[in-house]
Amino acid sequence: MKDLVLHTKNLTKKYKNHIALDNVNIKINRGDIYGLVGKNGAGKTTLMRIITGLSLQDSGEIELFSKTSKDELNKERMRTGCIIETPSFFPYLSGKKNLEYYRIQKGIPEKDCVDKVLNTVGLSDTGNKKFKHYSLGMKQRLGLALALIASPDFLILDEPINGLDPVGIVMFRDILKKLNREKNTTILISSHILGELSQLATTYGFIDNGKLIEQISAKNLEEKCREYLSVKVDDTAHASLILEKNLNCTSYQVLPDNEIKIFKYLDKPEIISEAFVKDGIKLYSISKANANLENYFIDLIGGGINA
Amino acid sequence: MLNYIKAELYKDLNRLSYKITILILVLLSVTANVLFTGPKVTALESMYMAMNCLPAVVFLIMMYIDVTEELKDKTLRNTLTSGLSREKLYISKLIIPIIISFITCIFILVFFVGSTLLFLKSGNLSSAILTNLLLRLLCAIPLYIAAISFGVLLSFILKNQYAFAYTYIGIFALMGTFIKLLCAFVSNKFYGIYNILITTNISVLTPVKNSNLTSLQMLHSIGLGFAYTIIFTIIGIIIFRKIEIK
Repeated sequence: MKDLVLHTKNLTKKYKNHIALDNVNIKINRGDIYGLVGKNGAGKTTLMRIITGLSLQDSGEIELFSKTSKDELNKERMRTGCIIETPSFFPYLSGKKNLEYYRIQKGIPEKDCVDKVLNTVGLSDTGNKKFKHYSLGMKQRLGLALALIASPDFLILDEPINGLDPVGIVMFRDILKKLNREKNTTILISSHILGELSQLATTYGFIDNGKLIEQISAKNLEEKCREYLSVKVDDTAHASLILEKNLNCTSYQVLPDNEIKIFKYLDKPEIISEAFVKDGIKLYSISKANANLENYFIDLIGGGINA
Repeated sequence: MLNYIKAELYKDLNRLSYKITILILVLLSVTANVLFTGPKVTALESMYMAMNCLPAVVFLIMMYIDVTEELKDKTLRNTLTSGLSREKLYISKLIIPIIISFITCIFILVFFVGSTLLFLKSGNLSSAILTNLLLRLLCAIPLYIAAISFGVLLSFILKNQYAFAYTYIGIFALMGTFIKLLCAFVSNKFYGIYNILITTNISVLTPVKNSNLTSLQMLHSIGLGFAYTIIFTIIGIIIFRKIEIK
């Protein structure tokens, strides 16, 4: 059995009449890169704020590194690093002085860790430039530096690549992959850039209107998103029978609106069309398709937008 | 908690604006002595000035290290997410201004008393008077701490820096007068409230208002200061436990 880093049990949070989180149960194993996917206002940030102790849940429980009591949770939070919303620092101090402040605060004895982490995120040349003069991308990089300064076992990153240029995004991805590979760092990350998330995540959690609607491994998702033939017919029951009896094909899925997803004969769709027509099935359309993370998510939430 | 206090001291004491503020306060105290203290002013009157200046200094320093700035810059969340409990964080937020304020007050008092010695008529100041001043200041310390704890509580409630500053100044500058008006126009019973105000009790400890300080008065001030500090801190922690940190 894998070690659980985070386990939320029926986590619920309300803001007046709005339910921000509704009985959310997520499990994150050690070494996972958990991609949290959801629309704006779906509850991703609220969940992360509760995990990090910035907000308090109305009901439910958090288990962090197998600890649940308030004092134990605070202690275990010392093993985490996070970026929640836009990184915030003292505007009148330079990036280096800000990190020096947090080095002292976290009780890290190695003074050179500040230079090392600045170098890692590509901010070693900023000199005495004050934080208030930083660009959004530089702020994000400094936020990552703070999250990494204490070599955390668990990283919680809320929209961390917002404001980063393409070079910054690649750098960011490489750092996270390296940490996960070399130090087995567990990562919980949310992003609107689903293509980027799909290059990192080993597990996904889909959240909508405060509810966790699906938790799936990247491998299973890949399986679900593989290429298929989308076939529209007048009678799906009859077509299924033909597929199984005449074409020996069991790798298919019947969808609403008389649609069938067929995962065989991808390069020979004419075999399917011929078999259907021969048996008197009306064939409306046949085309090759595949679902990516975005399509999968949109299908899952029922065609919502703003993902 | 200790690491957090160390980090805050690193930040505050290295701040250019803090250094400039100390310089301005030192210059103001020396200038006040040059302009107003002379052969006609007694050492007791000079000390009275010093004791009344301290709360103002405390307030000014608080403006630099206050919670409202952290809430405005949203840096408090970096501390909370690092695992420091809300209770410890609140208590640290009380300890830090106390340390900074006392460092500042000692610094300024050295210059103030030093310049007083320079400009006072010779023979006007003795070691007995200085010992008396020290005793009065020590008795006033719990009241100053109470004033700081009220400031910390207020800053968590009001959040906005300007609202906090004006409310804090307003309460300390006008509350005494307001209660006195209530005594005059509503009921004499309000004197009970007037007598337990922080400002009233600091004033009682000053040499001009009270030349013969009794042990009972000293104990009363110390006890009142501690009681206020405990009450304000408990209320503050209860409020802070429920606050959503943005």
